[in-house]
Amino acid sequence: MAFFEVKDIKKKFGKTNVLKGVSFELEKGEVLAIIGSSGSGKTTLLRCINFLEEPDQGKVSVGDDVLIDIPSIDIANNMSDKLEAKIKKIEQGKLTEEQKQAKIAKLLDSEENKARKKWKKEHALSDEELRAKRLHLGMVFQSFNLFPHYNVLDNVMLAAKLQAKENSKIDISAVEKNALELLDKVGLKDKIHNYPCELSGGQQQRVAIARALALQPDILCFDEPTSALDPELTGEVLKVIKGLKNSDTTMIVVTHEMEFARKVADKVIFMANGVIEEMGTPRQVFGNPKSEKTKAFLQKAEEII
Amino acid sequence: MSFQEVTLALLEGTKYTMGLFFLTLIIAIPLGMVVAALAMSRLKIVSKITNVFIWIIRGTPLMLQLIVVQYVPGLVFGFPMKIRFLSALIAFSVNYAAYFAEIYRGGIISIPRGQYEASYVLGLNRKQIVGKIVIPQVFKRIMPPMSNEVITLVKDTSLANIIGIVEIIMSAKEIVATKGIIWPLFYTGVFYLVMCGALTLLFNYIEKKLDYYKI
Ligand SMILES: Nc1ncnc2c1ncn2[C@@H]1O[C@H](COP(=O)(O)OP(=O)(O)OP(=O)(O)O)[C@@H](O)[C@H]1O
Ligand SMILES: [Mg+2]
Repeated sequence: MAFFEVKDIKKKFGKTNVLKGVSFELEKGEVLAIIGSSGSGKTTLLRCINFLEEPDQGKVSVGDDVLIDIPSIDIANNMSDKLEAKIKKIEQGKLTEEQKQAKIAKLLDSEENKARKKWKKEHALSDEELRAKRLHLGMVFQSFNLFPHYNVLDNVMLAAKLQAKENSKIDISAVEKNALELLDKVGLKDKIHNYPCELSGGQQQRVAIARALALQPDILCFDEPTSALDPELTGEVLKVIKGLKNSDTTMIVVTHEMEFARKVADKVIFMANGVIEEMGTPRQVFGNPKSEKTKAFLQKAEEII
Repeated sequence: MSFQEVTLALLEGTKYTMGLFFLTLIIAIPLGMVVAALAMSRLKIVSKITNVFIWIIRGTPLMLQLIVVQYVPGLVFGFPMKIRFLSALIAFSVNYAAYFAEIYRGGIISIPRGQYEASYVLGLNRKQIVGKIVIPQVFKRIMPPMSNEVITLVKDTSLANIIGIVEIIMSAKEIVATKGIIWPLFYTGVFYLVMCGALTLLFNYIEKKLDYYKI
């Protein structure tokens, strides 16, 4: 069993099918880069893994801990008598065949949603359980999302300090020492007393990385960490992420930086229309793509550069 | 009537003005939080009713509300309001709570989603998110509109003379009516200017204190 497993994640927003069954595995210390065109579901995938969005079905586990396990709900093959009767009625009605199909599909859809809601209600986690699960993962956002009213050091320490308050086993002085070390690691030792508004975008993103690392997540996720940055600031952030690879952090990086994916990732996933179109080592995906879609995407990316 | 005598008479009225002002703030600031919480309730009925309430309060003149509070209980329910100051306090507190609630709500809504999401992924619980992330930022955001409202309240207290509260303007009107001089009425402006000036300084000070970060 792999260290981190994601199995058959599906997610719909209303009628749009955003993730149509995404599965992958990751070993400890590996870096996964996810590439793909806009709207292919990369952010949604990260958000599902990070409990910011609830998938419709799928399984996520880290080591022996199961974080998410939502079964598929197959209404069409497990119909209640009542539902069957309803469908029969539609079929015997006076609508055209097309209208009937549409009506039945809609009915099944709403039944499925009902069943899923019921399942989720029955399997709802307490806040504490949810928190324990989500702390396996860390997340760095495209827009940094630092807390503007805390200085750099407090941004990094806040969560750990609040944990220490609740749990007397955690040592507060160790929290501060750890935060200072992390800020040194991301090259911001001299900015610890500054507020986010006083930092450049690249510096803010590095604080966000330190903040995520402070909780020692098993897997650190990045959603286009450099997309909001000027080109000259991109490098400093990518360098930090590269440095983390050397210290054996397991990472998932959604990125448009092809060079970075090629050089730093151990594994590359190319997503298109809510599915993994291609997955492999950078050498396979970039050097010898099998899918036409991948080829077209990479060609386009090449042209832009 | 000498300048000194007029000043003393107006200071007597200032007691009621200031009393109404401070008591209204003490009640309306927390009451506004309750109203804001109800207005943002996930229960649709609760938020709908609260929004209708806010609409009525903000959509009718405070002067009319003062009259309603003072006379409707007696006329309709046979339960006359005996203490006029209490009527004024109720009308002012409810009215200002509705306005404050809108300010609080605006402040809460203006906190970007990213702040909540960052808090979630850091494992903060609901209480910590509200206390450590949301409220401190809301506090800064609502300071400018709150200072506007509070300064308006100083001047609005003069409306209470419609139900016979002898606040500053009413004190002056009594002098005008009995002594046949009109200048005390203009002189009241000085009292309001002093009070509003002091509040302006106070709010400038608070806003400066909160200026150590930008949102
Ligand atoms: N909360 C939402 N409600 C409805 N639709 C959504 C929501 N979030 C995302 N979507 C839709 O899901 C699809 C995938 O979005 P997603 O943000 O995951 O794409 P992405 O691969 O991250 O794209 P990009 O490269 O532009 O960031 C899009 O069509 C988007 O409109
Ligand atoms: Mg995205």
